[in-house]
Amino acid sequence: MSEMTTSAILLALLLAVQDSLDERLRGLLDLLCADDIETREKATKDLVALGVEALPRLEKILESATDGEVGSRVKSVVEKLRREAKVLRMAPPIRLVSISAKDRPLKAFLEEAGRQAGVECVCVDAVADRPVTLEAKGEPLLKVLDRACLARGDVTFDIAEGKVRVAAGTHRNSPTAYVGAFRARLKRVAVYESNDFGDRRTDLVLYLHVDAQPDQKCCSVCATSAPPGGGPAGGGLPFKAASESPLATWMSERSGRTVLLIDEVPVILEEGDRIDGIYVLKGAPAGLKVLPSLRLRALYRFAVGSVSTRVPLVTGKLSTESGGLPFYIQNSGRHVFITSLQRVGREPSRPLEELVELDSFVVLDKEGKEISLTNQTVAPPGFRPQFRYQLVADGDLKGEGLTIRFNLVDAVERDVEFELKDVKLRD
Amino acid sequence: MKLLVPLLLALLAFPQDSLEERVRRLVDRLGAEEIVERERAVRDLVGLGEPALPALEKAGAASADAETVQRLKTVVEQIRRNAVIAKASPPARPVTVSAKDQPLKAFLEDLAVQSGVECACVDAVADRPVTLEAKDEPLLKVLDQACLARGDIAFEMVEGKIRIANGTSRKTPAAYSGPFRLRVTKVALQETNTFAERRANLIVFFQCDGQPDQKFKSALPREAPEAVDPAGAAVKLRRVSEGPVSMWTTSTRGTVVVDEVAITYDEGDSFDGICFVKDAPADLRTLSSVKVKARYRFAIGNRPVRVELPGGVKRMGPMGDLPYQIHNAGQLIYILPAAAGGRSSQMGPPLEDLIDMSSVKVVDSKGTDNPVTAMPRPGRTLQYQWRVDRDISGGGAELRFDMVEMFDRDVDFELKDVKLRE
Repeated sequence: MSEMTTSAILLALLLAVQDSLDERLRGLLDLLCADDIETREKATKDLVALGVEALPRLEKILESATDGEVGSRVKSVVEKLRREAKVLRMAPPIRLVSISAKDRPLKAFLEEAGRQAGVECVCVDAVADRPVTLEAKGEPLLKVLDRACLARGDVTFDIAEGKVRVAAGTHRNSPTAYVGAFRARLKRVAVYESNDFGDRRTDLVLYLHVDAQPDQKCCSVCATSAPPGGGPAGGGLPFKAASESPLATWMSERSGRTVLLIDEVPVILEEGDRIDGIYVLKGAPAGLKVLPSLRLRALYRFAVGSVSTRVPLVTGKLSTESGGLPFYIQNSGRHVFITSLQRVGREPSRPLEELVELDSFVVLDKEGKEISLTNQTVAPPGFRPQFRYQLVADGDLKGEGLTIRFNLVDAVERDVEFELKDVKLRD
Repeated sequence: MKLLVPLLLALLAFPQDSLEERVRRLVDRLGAEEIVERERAVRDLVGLGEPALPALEKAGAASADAETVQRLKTVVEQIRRNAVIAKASPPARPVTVSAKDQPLKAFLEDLAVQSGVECACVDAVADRPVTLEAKDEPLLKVLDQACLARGDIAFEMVEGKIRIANGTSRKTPAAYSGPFRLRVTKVALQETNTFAERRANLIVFFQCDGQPDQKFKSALPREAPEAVDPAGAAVKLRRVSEGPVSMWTTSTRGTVVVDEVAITYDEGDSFDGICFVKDAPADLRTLSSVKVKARYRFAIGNRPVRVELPGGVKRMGPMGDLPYQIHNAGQLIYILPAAAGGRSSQMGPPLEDLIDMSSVKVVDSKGTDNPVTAMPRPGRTLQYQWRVDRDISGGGAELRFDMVEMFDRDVDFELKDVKLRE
């Protein structure tokens, strides 16, 4: 078959698809004018179901649409599809990797894996020619890369600036679980044994870390509060999430390390550690060396936009047009304090920065003049603020009729459940 | 019988006469030509002890020679000091027992008679039989052995006596030296696995104590222990108090971080008694020998001290010879460890071990006494503060307090076969 003929067939197929889409669009748009509301509602849903592929045409239709019900329904469909398009840009669907490499130079291996996954994968020149031998069929990119690095033993990778970068180094053989584009790793295990010649006690601290392929542009990732572990006999072990435990003590030193005492167990946060994902087991069963199953839930959030909101600056619950936020706002005349209404250590709380763009706060006086607010919230390294935020104004906040404006984050969330198997804690 | 009484009286009188005679002869030798002989006479006079004090005082008053008077004064002071020391730290009396199913109460009574230490038990355990053989052993060792042999009793030392009650005695590694005891009260192992490297730190908690008749103010290891593993290789144990301490919590129970090792401590643990091995070898399970040099400090009196309070532009100054510095903030006086502005990595003894805290007062430049009020001390930190009624920032004032005069007894212990982990 000549190249010309192939192109002609492809063009014909494309037009056929477009024709089919146009036809469906036309049909559904007609149904928007149906007499019964059920048909109109169903047509609206079906238009959304056409997906982002239909967005350019619907946007064109919207330009010429009238202000009637049809126009309003098309507008809502367009808004939903625009948001979906953003979501797809921020969290594209996973593309699995199949590879059969035998002594393939690392650079070529990465190009192939990257092309299949739709993720840029590069390496430094020093390791570009190192041969890679690996078989993988329909596996997540991060799993393939972890395996390749461990198989070689002299290369490792990091995820930075939207790409995977491989360099010389020793890759950690840490217990890992993969779900699509997401990964959970046990970064570190600390075992504390104490023997006072009357009692022996073993405490465990697990440092779990969750991340994702670089094409997943999440604005925040955190391990959530689900208990992570099953005991050797299959029963649950009473792990406590460090982020939800009352802190007896915390100390920070200049090197960036922070030491916490959680339920009398020392938890050491090295630079880069986050309190989310740290789990403490006080009084672990004697002889516990392996966890057959370690379950972890993680929340990946993708910001797809923000909505400007303006509310009166009065002391009380922070309410917006779209509903209340679980926070209390207080105007002290110069400072604005925003405090979580949920009690730390009792139930999962959502930090304010996940709900609101912290740098967007501005106070407006009754003439509409802006008084800027500077975020002065301080948190120890590795911590989120302890659910108390402090903003300082560059002017007086004592007048009447003050309002506060801020951007509510419009985010989509992916709740991912990982299971790590046969996690070896110690020899 | 009538003859016997005068004879006994004569016999009793004879040593007194002899003592006075010995004092007279030794006092004569204080004026000897040779200095060696004069000094030996001083030592011999001190050796006569408290019974010789009246005769020595009489001799001092009667002597016209200035050097003899001075030496006699020194002898009297030394005898008095020795008497105080003997009261604070009487010599140990080892015990010998051969008990077979002896009721605990009777067993303890026997021990008390032999050791001179009051030993009691609660009624609930008084009849429990004890079987033990011991020959010339320290009291604490015998008590430890008896409690461990029974398994259902434990003892504590409170209010100057031994008290046994129901309980489980801990089989802690222990060493004994006369009336003193050293124990390993806790061993902690910290293992961290990053899946690239494994690290293990070992922490050993030592505690020194002594029989209740030993009235020491503090008992601490005075330097890092010398330890060897079963292969004879030295194991470097470091004391927390020797730092570098990067942070510690300000509560009686908390965490101290020293050279990146986080150590949790309990009330009663001393930073001098907590030792650690950073990056311990993976196969280190036992220490075949641990030699610990401990210092027991006995308070035997007070000595008034005056220290210039910094003032004017100079707000900080030394606190005499003590390892502390004074910060004069006008109406508040802060006493902080001498190094690093209060965040010392070399932590010395707490101030209350060095001075009588109730004796502190400020005398201003006009010589007026200003009582001070001690402010609450923030937890375990070595930071002290007093409030003064008036501003004394101008300079010329003095801080006055009584230094505790100490007598130190250095004791060497050796622990054998200390098991660190399974």
